[in-house]
Amino acid sequence: MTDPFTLERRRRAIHGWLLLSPALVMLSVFAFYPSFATFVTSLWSRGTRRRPSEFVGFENYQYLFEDPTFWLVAWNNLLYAAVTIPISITLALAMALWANAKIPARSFVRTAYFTPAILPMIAAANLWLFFYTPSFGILNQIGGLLGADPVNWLGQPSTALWAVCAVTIWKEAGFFMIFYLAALQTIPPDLKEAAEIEGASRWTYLRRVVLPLLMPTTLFILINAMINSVKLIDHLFILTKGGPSDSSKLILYYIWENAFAYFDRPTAAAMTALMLAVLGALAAFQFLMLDKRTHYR
Amino acid sequence: MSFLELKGITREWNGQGGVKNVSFALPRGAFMSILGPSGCGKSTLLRLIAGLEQPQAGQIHIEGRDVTARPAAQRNLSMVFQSYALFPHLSVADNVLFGLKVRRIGRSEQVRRLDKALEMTGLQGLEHRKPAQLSGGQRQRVALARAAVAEKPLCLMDEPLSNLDAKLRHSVRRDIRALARALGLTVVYVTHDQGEAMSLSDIVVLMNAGRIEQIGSPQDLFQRPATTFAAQFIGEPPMALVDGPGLALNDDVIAGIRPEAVALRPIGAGDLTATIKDIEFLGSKTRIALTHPAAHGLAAFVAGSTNLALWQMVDVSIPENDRLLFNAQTGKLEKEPQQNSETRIRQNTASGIGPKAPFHLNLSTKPAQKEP
Ligand SMILES: Nc1ncnc2c1ncn2[C@@H]1O[C@H](COP(=O)(O)OP(=O)(O)O)[C@@H](O)[C@H]1O
Ligand SMILES: [Mg+2]
Repeated sequence: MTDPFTLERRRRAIHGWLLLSPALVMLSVFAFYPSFATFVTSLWSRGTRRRPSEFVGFENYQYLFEDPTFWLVAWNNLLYAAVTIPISITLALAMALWANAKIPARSFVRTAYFTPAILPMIAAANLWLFFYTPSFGILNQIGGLLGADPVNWLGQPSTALWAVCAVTIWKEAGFFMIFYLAALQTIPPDLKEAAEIEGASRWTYLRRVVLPLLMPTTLFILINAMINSVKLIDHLFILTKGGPSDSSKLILYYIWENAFAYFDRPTAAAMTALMLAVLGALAAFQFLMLDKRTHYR
Repeated sequence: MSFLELKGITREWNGQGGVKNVSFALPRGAFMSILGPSGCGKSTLLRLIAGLEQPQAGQIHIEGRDVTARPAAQRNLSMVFQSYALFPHLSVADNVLFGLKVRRIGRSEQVRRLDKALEMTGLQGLEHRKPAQLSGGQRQRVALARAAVAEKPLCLMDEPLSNLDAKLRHSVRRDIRALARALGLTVVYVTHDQGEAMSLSDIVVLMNAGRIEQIGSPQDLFQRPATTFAAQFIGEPPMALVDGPGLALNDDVIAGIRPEAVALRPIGAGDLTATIKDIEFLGSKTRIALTHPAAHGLAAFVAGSTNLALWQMVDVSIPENDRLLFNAQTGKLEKEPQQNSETRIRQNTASGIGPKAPFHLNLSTKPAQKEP
């Protein structure tokens, strides 16, 4: 039993667990346990003073699927993600390419692009509230100069969600640009010269060399953007509060409403569990599928 | 008509660095080295030829066309970078084929050229590896293969061997020469290693501080260095320089002498009395480094080993016929060696001081002297 090989193996196993334990403890307390507790909560009915909560299985989920607001909010969130993610990533890449080129006032350009990322979302939302204000907001004043009729951007269902999207893109693109800028600066300049001598145009060089080399960064940004499209809802509180008539309401905002405005914790828990499942599946898909096609140095 | 011609090319940064007023012409199929110490403008000159840098003055002609204002892609040339500049995300085959794909060369032609290039560079079987999975020498050969498949008549190379170890350097050096011959390439080869420049090239351009110091065949540079700079750069070890008065000459000349022509003599029988500073055993011969107040880099060779001692005083003879005389002010060559110095050097080392020479015994019986 006490041969040195077994002892050494045991010693290494103990070392391993010791090294693992801080992260494991933190994650268990703040991530795994809450997720599990949320799931358990979602299986119980809402308790009132007269009727204590009881185990109901997946009944909460069933109610949720019958709730048209839930589907509207899910659809809104899908649109929100489908618009903000590609646009902010494309913008970030374009800005990074520009800010990385030899242009005058380069550091000013970089700072200017990054400023929105430093602002808290609440401050950014307040800023945009001024832009969107009917009649004397900047957007309508500019529109007025061009002879357009004033638009109540945040006040009508047809534009509210897009107005919210614009704020998110404005906020996120600058942040993602920094990652792209850092990645671009690790590409040696002689790759461009080698491509140039081989007759590659700027566009070919971008497509065949730069974009593939930026893939790890893009993957990282993509996952971040996806998580943010669910997570980043601070501006809803300032701009629209989900309205008018739920047209700009996103999942997390709806969860918040259920939990803290209607005090319906089981429904909120069921939605949270669903959201976690979808996000987890998406992240797993991205890591497993895209990773294979990504070149890491 | 010359294949590559530079006329008065100047490129400086705020009046510093770069190259100044460089002109030369190169016939088709020639192998030319640009040689010089680090920072003398070799890479700048190569990048100017490639079109990666724009001259402030002067013209560049390739195949009789003025390409000064043309972008790199239109100059009909290929280039091997010092860092190899391989695309890290592409396999060996895709790296080599990059240019052909960009230029939309037919699929079968691509395969044909790829096979040929991989065979010439000995890279078969590594087609699907990424550059990170290759050794330094293999990466270097991928860079060569990429230049070879382009099948451009002019190939530029910027210190392609400087990242390889000494042994590999020798073998790849031969490969480069063979490749250039097989493809009939005109090559401009940048190096700071005179051994590479001398052994590879038909023509050597020696540069110093952005200017051309001398252009000529390796033999020319070795036997008739145009300036004291060239004299002190070429040769291993390079030429020794002795101030005129030290050899009873006028003080407006400096005499240059190849170490191969310097002979050791007993005290009183030579032109200078010098102190032995260093003794380096090289196998078939021994290099003796000497110091003398009027001389720079004075050295001599002795066949086989020696029993001379460090700090011992010896006389050296500096045969008049082997001396080159340089102007002390301008550093320019004024008088060449009187006859074919190669034969003289051979005679010298043959009849010079072997271990059996009579005066040598004489010398070795003397007690070693310490330098004051
Ligand atoms: N882009 C540049 N900006 C400023 N100075 C430069 C630049 N490129 C080269 N130089 C200067 O020109 C001189 C020659 O450089 P280079 O051609 O790279 O020398 P080398 O002979 O070592 O290849 C150096 O003094 C260098 O500092
Ligand atoms: Mg260089």
